[in-house]
Amino acid sequence: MNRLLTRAVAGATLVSALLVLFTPRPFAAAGGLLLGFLLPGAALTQALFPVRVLTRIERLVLAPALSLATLVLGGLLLYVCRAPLGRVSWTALTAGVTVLALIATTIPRLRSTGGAAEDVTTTGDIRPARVVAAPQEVPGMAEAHTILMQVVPAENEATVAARDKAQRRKLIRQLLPLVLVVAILGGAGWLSLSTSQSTYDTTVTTLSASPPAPADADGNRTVVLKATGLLDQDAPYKVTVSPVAAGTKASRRITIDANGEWTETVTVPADSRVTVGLYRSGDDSAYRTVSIAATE
Amino acid sequence: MLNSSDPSATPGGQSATPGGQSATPGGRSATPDDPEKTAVIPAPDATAVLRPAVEDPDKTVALPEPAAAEPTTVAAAAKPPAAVGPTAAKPPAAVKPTAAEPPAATAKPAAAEPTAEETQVIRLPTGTTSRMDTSTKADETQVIRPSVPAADETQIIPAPKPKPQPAADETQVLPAPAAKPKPKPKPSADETQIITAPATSPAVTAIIPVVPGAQEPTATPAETTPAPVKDPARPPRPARRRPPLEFGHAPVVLVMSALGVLMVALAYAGGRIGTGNATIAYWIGQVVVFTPVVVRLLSRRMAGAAESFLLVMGLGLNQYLLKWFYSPEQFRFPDELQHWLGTTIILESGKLFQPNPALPPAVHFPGLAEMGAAVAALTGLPVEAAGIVVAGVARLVFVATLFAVVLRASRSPAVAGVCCAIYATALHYLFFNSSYLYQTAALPFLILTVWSTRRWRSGGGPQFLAVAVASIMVTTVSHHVTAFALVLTLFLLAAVELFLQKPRRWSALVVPGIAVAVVALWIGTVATDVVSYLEAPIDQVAETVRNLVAGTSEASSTTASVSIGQLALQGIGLIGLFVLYLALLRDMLQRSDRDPWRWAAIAGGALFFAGNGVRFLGQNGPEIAGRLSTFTYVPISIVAAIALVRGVQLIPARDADGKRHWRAAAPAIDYVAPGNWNLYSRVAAGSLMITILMIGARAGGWPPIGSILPGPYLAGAFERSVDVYGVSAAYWERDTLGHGNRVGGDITSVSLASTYGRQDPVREVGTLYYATTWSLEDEQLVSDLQIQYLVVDKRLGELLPQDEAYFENDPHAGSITSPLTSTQLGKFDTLPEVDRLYDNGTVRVYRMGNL
Repeated sequence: MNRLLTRAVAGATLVSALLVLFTPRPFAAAGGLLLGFLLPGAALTQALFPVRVLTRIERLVLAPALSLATLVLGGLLLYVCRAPLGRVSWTALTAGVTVLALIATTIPRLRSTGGAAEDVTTTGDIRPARVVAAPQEVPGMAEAHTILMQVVPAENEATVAARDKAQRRKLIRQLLPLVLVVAILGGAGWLSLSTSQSTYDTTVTTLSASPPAPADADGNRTVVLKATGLLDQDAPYKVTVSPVAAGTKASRRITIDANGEWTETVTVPADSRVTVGLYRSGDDSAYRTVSIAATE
Repeated sequence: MLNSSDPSATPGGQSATPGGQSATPGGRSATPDDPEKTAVIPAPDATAVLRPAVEDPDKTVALPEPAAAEPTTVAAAAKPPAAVGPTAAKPPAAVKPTAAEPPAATAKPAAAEPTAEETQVIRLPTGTTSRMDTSTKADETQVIRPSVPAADETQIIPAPKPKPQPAADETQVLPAPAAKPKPKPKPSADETQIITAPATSPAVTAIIPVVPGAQEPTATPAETTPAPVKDPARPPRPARRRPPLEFGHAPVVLVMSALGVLMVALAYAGGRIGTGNATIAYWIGQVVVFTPVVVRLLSRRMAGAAESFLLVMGLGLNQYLLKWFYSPEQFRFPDELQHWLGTTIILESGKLFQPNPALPPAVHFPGLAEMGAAVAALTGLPVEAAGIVVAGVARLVFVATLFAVVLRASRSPAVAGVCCAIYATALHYLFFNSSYLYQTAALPFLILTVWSTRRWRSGGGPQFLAVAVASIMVTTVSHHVTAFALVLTLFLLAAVELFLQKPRRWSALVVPGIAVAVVALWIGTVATDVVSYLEAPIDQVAETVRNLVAGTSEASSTTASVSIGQLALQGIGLIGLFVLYLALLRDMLQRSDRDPWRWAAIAGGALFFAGNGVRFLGQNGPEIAGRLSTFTYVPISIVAAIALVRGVQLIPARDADGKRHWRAAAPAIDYVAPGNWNLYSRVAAGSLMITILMIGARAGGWPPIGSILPGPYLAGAFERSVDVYGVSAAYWERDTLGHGNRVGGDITSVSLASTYGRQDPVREVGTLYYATTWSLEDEQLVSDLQIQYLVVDKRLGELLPQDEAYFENDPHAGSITSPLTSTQLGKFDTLPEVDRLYDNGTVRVYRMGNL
């Protein structure tokens, strides 16, 4: 990881942490996804494998894999340390691991800069010397008198730039169909989500009673009745209670609140089985029914 | 020349270039960019080295330097009768072309034009490779070829004193002739230079390691050895330039695959609203999603690892979307709901290891819940959304890791890609293993452990061991069965390595030992309840086996019956896999193959076929077999991919007399030239077989065929049984009754009550519902199970169960011929001691507290 990339990861970590901690959901989601799935693993990968021993694919795999591992093992560590697992602690964990890994990444580089570890290019740029493809000694081959190493010929900068540009254009052309892929998949997702929600979202009209309270001195008990999912087009609703204790109406027209609900506490005799019915406008039989058994 | 007795040296094998690229990048020559083609070595004046792709890269074969002074172009074949070159029919005469012969004649005439990036000149002293065999660095050793035109140059300083050496490894090195003419300066055509080291120079042999698939060498710190330069006045340009990415036709193929996703989404929408032909659209969509990718992977015309990887990841994403689109806005599968609860508990409490009544063993395997809770906390997303993202990422990481492992082991992007495609036909791949389950979180780390172990064993540094240990720990704390499977896998790999490789390196047992220690420590100290949790189904299978042996009962299953067509599809697929397995086994035996990873795949493949027999053992047999296949399908996928991509001969070709020689050393890897009928037929047959496997898996996997489309409520149908009525009742239980009450009901009611409702589930309540009259036994059962509430869904009296059972441990499972009666369901209203506290017209909740 070069300095620019290191700084970019460090900056992204800082920004992500701030987004997670101090911004509303859409921004926090972006920062959280980076901290959860990418940044710790990317930094750890570079800290563990600073030289090119991994392929692009392996680096691509390790970034999310080590990020997930950070969440699992780091979460256990937080638990052992008795730290509560919440937004702050998860943020501190992921950002902290990322920063530590970045620091670990820079240490070998700092060491290597002590000698002729950097390479001055023709343009004057200083590049880490490790990027020069130096030969690697194979154990057991010290006596062999063959050296196989790689060097790179100097190229005209203009040629290189032109070639890079052509390669970028080719890559863009190749990847252009992926825009269509994203559009198709997005459309398919919208279709699935909308149809699933529309078929699921059905208003459910319920009538319920809370578990009855113990009988009082008069042999009565109170029950909280509740109706939900009441629709304006079925109004007015009626609730009947049978039998009822003295002073309690056996039937009443109920008033629906803004949420389409109704709640009332009624007093019923403890020694009788009580039946409560909910009627829509025009119903002859109860639309919903609950019953409370008599106590012994 | 290629050693036809060795698959590593076959043309269908690997390129001589890192990353499995062909020697002619961009496919400009007749050595196209197919990474499956071995690089042609056109340099007329150089020693050629071929690096096999399919074989274990740990090995390198160095052939003795020939006495003849003619240039050598291609590694020589060890067994002349074997097929060499682009087609199996190629005579082996082209092994050593004379200096007057165009070197490309050994392989592909059209590739004869050497280009700068094609030429490989490597001069290694004999006698070095035997030492390399024992070197753990050998895995990454590879001959370097500039993968980009004019990108790099290779300088070779030949050794003055070659020694004879055993041909122990698989990279073949033929030295240049002693009287080799000096290489002519070729400013643009061939930048490879051979530099003879001074005799007095204390030369050191070094080979730049490269990584398969990377198309780049490994750079090492400069302090080891300074890189030589051709012109001291010219500063070397850092060789860090990566070759350009080449995605080939993968994006276009993925457009087709995405259209398949759209078709399946339309089918799902049709299922929800009851459109008639939705099922047809579903199956067409499944094929469109899958088959174009498979055809491309098998086509042998891919641009390289990047294209193969993009195809595989695109397929993985598309197939995950198929799962997500089934229920996009909420979890419905009971196991997902259980893990939703575990994640929610962590979010609410801020602590791990809190009781989860829906799935008690999951408490001690919090890996997935930690991931979900962390993402939910970091992003502010609801647990459902966070879980969908976590499961999707875990799925993609699994696929990518599997690709990386197989690519590392085979050095073939096509083998890696086809392996991943074949694995996508596993029974539980599409739904179960990509659901929000703890196994989904553990599987990537199982494969990552294998990958890092391999890297460590093949000479990687201790950091690979560190990754392996971390992966073992994550696997262990994420899922019990996957942890056990990991231990077995690591021991299998170690055992095969110890058995095959001489001298034995007992360090092969280090990682398996660590895995055993970690798993034992976790189960012995934390997850102590997992043994009893897993004991029941295993005991059930064991008892079935005992009964079968004793003849006291028959193997039976109470799961849903399987149609003949479904069985036929699965049978054809299994037979196809078995034929490929036998073909590769025969091939390896005849070649005396000693690659431990391939033999481990063969052993694992045998476990796959044995595991399929478990499905006939008792009620839990099919489920155990399906779960087992999650792990055993990996090796059989590798075996089948090698056989398909390499074109292993199923039937020996006839000789001139029309006879087939079954015991003859058949060409290990039958290279098929692109474009001919043989290739097309092979691609078609392979694609057809894999597609049949996929259809069989979709039909026999999850969800069951009867509820393969989302839609209105079905009884006993898991996802299809979750609707707003049941969820509404569960929320009422949570809000009105409080947490932790003992609640019984049918499978779905209990699942919802224990998760959304936060109740303590009681599952063995079927007899209470089947009773037509309430008896003392029923009352006693209520008392014994401490049941406080029962949930009654009226639709159990209207619909037959899709999965042959209304209840868990249903006493009538498999023999239900009619729905429950109104008497059976309505008897609770007649019990004077029972309250009906909730009624939404479909679901009712009864309080049994007075009994």
